[in-house]
Amino acid sequence: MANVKLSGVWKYYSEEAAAVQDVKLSIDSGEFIVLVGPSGCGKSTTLRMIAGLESISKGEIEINGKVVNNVQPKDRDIAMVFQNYALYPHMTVEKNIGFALKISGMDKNEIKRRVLNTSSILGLDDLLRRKPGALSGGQRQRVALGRAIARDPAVYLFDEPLSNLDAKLRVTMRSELKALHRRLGTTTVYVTHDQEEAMTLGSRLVVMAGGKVQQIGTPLDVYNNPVNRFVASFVGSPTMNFIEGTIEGETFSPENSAVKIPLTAQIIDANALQSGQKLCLGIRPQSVTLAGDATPGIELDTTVELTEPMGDRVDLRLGLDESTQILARMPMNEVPANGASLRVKLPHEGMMFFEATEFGKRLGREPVAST
Amino acid sequence: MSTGSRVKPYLFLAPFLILFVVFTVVPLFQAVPLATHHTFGPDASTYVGFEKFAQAFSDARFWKALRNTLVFTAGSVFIQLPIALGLALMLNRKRVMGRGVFRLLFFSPQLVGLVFVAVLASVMFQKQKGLVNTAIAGGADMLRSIPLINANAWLPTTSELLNTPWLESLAMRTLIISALWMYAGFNMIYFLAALQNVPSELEEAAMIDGAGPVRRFFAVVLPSIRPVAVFVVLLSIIGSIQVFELAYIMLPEGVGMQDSGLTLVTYLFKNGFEIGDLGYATAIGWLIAVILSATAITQRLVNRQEAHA
Ligand SMILES: Nc1ncnc2c1ncn2[C@@H]1O[C@H](COP(=O)(O)OP(=O)(O)OP(=O)(O)O)[C@@H](O)[C@H]1O
Ligand SMILES: [Mg+2]
Repeated sequence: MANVKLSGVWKYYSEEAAAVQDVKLSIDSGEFIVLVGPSGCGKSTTLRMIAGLESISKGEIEINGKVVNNVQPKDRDIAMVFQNYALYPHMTVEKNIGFALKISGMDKNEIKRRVLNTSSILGLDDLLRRKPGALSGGQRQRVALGRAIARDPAVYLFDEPLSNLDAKLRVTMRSELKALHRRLGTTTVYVTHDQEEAMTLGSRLVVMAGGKVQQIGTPLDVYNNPVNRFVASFVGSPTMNFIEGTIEGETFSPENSAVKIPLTAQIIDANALQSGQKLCLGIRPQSVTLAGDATPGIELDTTVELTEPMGDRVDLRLGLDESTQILARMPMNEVPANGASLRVKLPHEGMMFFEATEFGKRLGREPVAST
Repeated sequence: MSTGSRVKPYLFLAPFLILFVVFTVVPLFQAVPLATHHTFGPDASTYVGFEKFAQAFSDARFWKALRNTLVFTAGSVFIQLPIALGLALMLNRKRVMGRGVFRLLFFSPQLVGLVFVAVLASVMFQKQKGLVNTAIAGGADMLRSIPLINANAWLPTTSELLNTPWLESLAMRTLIISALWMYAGFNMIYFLAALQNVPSELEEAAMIDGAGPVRRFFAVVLPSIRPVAVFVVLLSIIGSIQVFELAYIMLPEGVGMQDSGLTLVTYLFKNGFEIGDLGYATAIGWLIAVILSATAITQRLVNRQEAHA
């Protein structure tokens, strides 16, 4: 087990653009850290720098207090699981799992013992004599895991290990991974572009975009207190509603729309909003409720434009007017008809305000110190 | 299905099939009786049974040709192919300046053709003025100028070096080197294509698993390109056993001095078209066919065995 520390890490593939910019991250021993972000944001590059497969352009990476910038991958005491498994195609499952042990010069019986132990943890006992070509995707994934586990490394590195599996298997493997981590307690750095996978697996998330770290925090922290509009939109499903507009006195006027959303002095105050300010109102679909209960909020008349019932809940696209729509996710026994009018409430608690740009800062919050 | 659509595919195949039958199948069947006849030119022939085959087995020149051909084949497989693989490995690395230029350079003999390369090589390997001997003599002179190593004592004289009989007595060596020049680049392209298909994660995984470069090559890369490697070896063997043009163009009389460069196909050619004994030439042809089939069958057996292992 080990801690991992990245101090101001940069990666340039070419001189003009940095794929990874100034990443600072301190991972405690035993943590399950998830790097999450859209495609091309630099997650894999960061992971590969920790693995030693990619050189570090600037900054330092430490594993267990030792700077590893110039240490070979094999001497970093890490194991990596690749997206396409990278199993050795001509070796049996048994040989695949034992390959690293064999290279390390371990005694034959000890290798056998470890391979069997690993295969029983992962339920691979019946497959040991097979070659990867004769395995299903899920089984290959398990073998790739086994190869990492058998070595008992200080750190596990995962690069989108579940993304080649079908949706159902992905969910199963997700909980297996979680259980495995609980059992082994090994420091883990996990890369995914799937925010749901990130939320369910990570003890902390590192949300990245454009090569930069946007926010580091526990899943709930990131969900409830996104530091900017990007994080707010990336984390959570369905995506948060954003309405751009202007503050006029105590009302919020969405752009190109006659609708006025009345705010309270308290909200104006709490979020440090200023009259005339252009900004972006954000509210999660799950926060929107039916009007009528006692929670403080703003009630609005809307028209139901689209319904997507899912049995236990329904997703509604609601029009405030022709140009402004919001999505609401509600528990509902009776699905309203298209075109019906519906009075809904935007609870004060669920409202967030951002500067009106893609990476616009969250307003009215002290920037959360992140390490 | 209408009759028309059943016949159509064969209509499209017809041009090939007709040529194939006329120039390959018919001669093949004619070759069966031909090998059992003694001929003087195309017209006069008498039936002699299996005498022509017996003749081959007791013919010292046939054995010499067989030995030379096997030496040439071994040179292709054990010298040329490893060099081709080495070149491919070099060009497959991420940061090689001018990769395309090198690829073209190694491949260029294929573009100008065998005859051109053979003529050029025969000029280079000539006595006295040939580039090879001149270069060797020059290198020897440089060694001689170094004090203390006393090069004169163990080096042949300059005139001996300039007269190294590459084309005359060292014919097999010369042919192997020339074939290397001709075909190494071609085989390299096969290897390079195979290497580029090896997923980089595979090597990376092995790197993390602690395997050094040599181990990675033998444990991961080589097994991954094995199907292509087997194919290249087989092609190389089959091509080498049929070696003819290179020797025929380069060597004096097409065989070198005292048959030093006589190959099976050259011997077949000489018997058939210079001496006019078509029966003996055909019998040699059949023996070559047997060797080739045996090679292909062995390769299949080995492959099948390994697939089961
Ligand atoms: N070997 C390379 N050479 C040049 N640029 C690269 C290289 N590898 C990655 N990049 C660039 O660096 C950026 C980050 O790539 P990276 O692979 O880290 O993204 P990622 O977050 O893992 O995305 P994905 O989810 O698609 O895997 C991208 O813009 C990519 O084009
Ligand atoms: Mg990636």
